Formats: sequence, C-alpha cells, structure tokens
Amino acid sequence: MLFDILSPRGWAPFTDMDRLLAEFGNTLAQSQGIHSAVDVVANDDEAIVAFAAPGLNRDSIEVTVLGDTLTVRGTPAPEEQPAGEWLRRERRREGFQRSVRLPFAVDEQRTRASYRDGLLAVHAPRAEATKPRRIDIAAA
Amino acid sequence: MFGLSKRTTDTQSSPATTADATQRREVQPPVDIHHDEDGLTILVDVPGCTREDLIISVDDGVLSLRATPRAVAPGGYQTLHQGLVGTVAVRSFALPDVVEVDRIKATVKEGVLRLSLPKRSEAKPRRIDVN
Repeated sequence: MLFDILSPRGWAPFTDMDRLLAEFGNTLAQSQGIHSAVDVVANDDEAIVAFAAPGLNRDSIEVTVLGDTLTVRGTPAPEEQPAGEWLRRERRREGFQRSVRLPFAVDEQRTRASYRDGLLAVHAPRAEATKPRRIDIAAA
Repeated sequence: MFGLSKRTTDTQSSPATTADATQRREVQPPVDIHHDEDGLTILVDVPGCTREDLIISVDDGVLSLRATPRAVAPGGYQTLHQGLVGTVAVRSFALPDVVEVDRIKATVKEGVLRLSLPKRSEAKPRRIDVN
C-alpha cells in the first residue's frame, strides 16, 4: 500500500525520505490536474461548467463571458497563521484562473454562477442568435 | 463535525452520483500538513464533496481517505468534458504512534477537508516547574 509517512522532525529519522515522498506527491497531484479539474455538460439551450475550486474566498470570485469563452477567477480564502510548522504544502495558495471555450456563443446577461462545496458552477445560456432556426420556404 | 474511531468507517449509504464509483479514475488530492505541540492538522482538497461523499477510516495505524465528487449537472445533458466527476480522490497516511486515534476529528467546508489528529497527552511537551 502506498501511503504518506507523517514524520515531523524529532518523531522519526526518515526526513529525507519524507521530503522525497512529498515531492513525488506534488508532481503526481499536478500532473493529474486535480487543481483545476473541470466538467462541462450542455443541451440545446445552455452549458453548465463546473470548476473544481476548493477553498476560495466567495467574494473574490469573478466570472466573465466573451463570445464563446467563459473565464473564472478567484483567490483562496485567507488562511490562519498557526503556531508550529508546515510539514507539507501541496494545496494551491495563489489565485485561480481558468478559461473554457464552449461550442456556442453565450448570452452573458443571463449567465449565472454559484459556489458550493468547492465547486464553481456556471450556467451559460446559449445566445439566441446562434440557435439553429428553421427557415420556411416561401411559396413560389 | 464527525468523529472517527479505530477500525470504523464513517460512510454513507449511497454516493450521490450516477457514475459507478468503481469505474472512476483514482487521483491523489493535494494536501497540506501542519504540526504543532497539540498534534497534526491535515487539509485535503476534495472539491465537489460533502460529508456524505467522504469515506475516512483508520486501520492498523493507517488513515485512509476516499472522496467521490458529485455531479452538478441534471439529467438530459450531453457530457462535453469530464475532469472531476470521473475521478475518485484517494490518499492514505501512516499515523505516528503519538496520535490519539479515538479523538481524530474531520470537518469539510467549501471542498476542503480538515482532519485534526491530536497527540496523546503524554506525548505533549510539558513544562516542569522548579520548586
């Protein structure tokens, strides 16, 4: 079983091994992109884009629409500065920004976003002008 | 807040997703680990998870976490990209002997899991007064 070894200084002699494991864990987390995972679903009327964005300061979240591109930004909630020491720091501490290009232009006036359980969900309605329309053939 | 006890699993009756949890891709969530004289604190990113989506257990000195994010999309939508819903976050930690397993606490807020692992009182530094 692969597991992390919790070895604060003074508790165990394997600090070098611990550091190596930490670095490996870092690389793995980044390569798998869990920091910025995104789910996109759509129907004829709208797309829903869910950005993984844990621990954001709700007031910092910005959603912008430009044509068919959604951009979200936010910064992490301010963290406490506890006494003691950090043994490992893998979680994102800098700002978050992500853009997603959708298969249609978005009506920015009706775009809505919610933030819950560390998930930023954006409902992006398709712009009316881009919806397919049936053209009647005029009688000769 | 919910507590943990040794060899028990805080779990849920059914994951709130339609995807079969066993078919999900396992990913390693990023963690921060903090240490002070009272014990260890572990922060884990578990976006899209509420307490019902987390399975945390301690067995034989190893704390294991399994977090299954739930989908926000209602039915009737076509999936264009799946980055989070198709995953399950899995991570394990070997606990030092000084951790008092019966007093481990877990809370989750805005997709961040906080595990508090207190030290046994006899393992804490103590000041000895000189008479």
